[in-house]
Amino acid sequence: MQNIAYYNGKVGPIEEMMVPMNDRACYFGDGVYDATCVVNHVPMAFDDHIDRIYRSAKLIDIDIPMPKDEMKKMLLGLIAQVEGDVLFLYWQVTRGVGMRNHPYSAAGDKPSIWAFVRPNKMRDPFGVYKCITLEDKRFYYCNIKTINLLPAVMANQKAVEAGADETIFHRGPRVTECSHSNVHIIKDGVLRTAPCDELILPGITRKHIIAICGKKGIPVVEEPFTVDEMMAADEVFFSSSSALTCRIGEIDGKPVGMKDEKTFAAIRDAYQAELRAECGVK
Amino acid sequence: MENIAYYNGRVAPIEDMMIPMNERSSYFGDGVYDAMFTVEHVPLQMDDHLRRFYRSARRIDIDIPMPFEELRAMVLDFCRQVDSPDQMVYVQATRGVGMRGHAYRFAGDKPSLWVFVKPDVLDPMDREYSCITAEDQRYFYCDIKTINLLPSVLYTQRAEEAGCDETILHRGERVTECAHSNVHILKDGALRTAPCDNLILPGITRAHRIAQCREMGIPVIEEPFTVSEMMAADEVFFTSASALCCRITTIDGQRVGGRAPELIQRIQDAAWAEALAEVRAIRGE
Repeated sequence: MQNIAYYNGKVGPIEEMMVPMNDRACYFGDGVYDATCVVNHVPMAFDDHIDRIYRSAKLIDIDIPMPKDEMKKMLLGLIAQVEGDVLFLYWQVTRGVGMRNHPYSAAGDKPSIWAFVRPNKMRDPFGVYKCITLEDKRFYYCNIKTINLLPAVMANQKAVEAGADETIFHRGPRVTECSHSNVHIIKDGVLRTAPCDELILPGITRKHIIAICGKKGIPVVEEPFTVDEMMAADEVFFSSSSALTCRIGEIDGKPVGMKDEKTFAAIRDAYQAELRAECGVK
Repeated sequence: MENIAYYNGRVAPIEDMMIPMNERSSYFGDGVYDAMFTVEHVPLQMDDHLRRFYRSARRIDIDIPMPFEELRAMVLDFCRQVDSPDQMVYVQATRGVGMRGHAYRFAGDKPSLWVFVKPDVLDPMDREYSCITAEDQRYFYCDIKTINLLPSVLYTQRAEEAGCDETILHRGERVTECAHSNVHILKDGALRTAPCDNLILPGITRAHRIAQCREMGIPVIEEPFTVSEMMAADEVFFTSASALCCRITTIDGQRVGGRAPELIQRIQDAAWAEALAEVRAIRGE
């Protein structure tokens, strides 16, 4: 089939899937999610994403009512039913269903599990992308992958309206991350990326990029960098599970980076090769 | 009937109402809401709440797909249909329905309108309330009544686990508001309350208490106050749609307030008198 959705055991096309109005997602965004690209029916970095959603859930006191192995099996079962070489897998866990009231006790006795799989297009790994910057007004739970994403929606919309691809957030001078990706710079042959605190999501692609740098002898500095440092960097790129690595050539209308293709390409090509191997692509 | 839910033209009991998975609330919390409490089937400060609802929607670029007067009439009709005279009325607008994608264009061509009315009661004013405090780690859009409420859920849960009624939030020393109400102090005969910026919701009940205090000749200072000032205040109270003026006497296990009982009683009496006058006015419409 063309796409598939899952909600607490029910399965059907995404467009037809109905959920109770009283699911805590509807009133509070009371849940966590994860997502990854699927190539050749193999979800990329699957175990990393599975581990992260259990970690996210734990951080907001949700006990996922399904063991990891069973969740993997269920998601792979959904993937198997959808046609296409490149798919997008999304799944989320919400606190449950019950009359609207803030405390957990109102959420019924079982968290809800949601998932969908649909066709996807990945970004061109050889493209050059444009970004805008915005003050980061989000909460201090950015390390948890929650569905409280309204600020990300509005920031992303600003990028679209500016004809750009992503929005880079900063808290004062300090760059944090993008509306749905991490951002990194290369300066003097060194990869610089924000540290994992409550201001950024610990990106799985970010983690793999850091590991690749380790293997390739590219030094990594996990320390905050500023907007000025970013504008003056040799390379700037964003990363996410659907973007992988996207080179940025313009920020707020000004040219940036594009001065150390060798280092950037080494990282990009190594990650592409890793994923090709994982997904069995020649 | 016991309760009623409305979603984009469909009506059903809340427990039976189903909505599309692809609603933007499901993935992003991409919407705004408002809530009211009724006395005798009449939602208090209904027009203020509904006006704020349209204002919140505009702030996040959502155009509510029903004119104000029509929504107002529908809400009143639902309130009459629900058996209990004491109700909570909830209205919500989300960006719409569509395949998950951050940008607005994925949200389809029409925002969604949700309403429910269920039995609920105002927080009684004749009891004492206890609170805990917590560092305010929310975003800087607290002036918009959005459904990105996960931090409020977590803070409320912490209060409940501590056997308390609410969590008072502070950014550093500065008190902002509670998990789902505004907080105020009385000191030396004056009402002190945080100013309306992006750190607090401009509470409707807050605005009414301020207006009434001014009418009664009680000075009102809309300036930030600190946790220490709150702990040393003559009285501390919180307000929300369900809490007209609820007196806080314990914070983090310490006794607070209790030094201006007559003043807070005056404010509570005025609040209740206003509510009753409003109910009479709407019922006479």
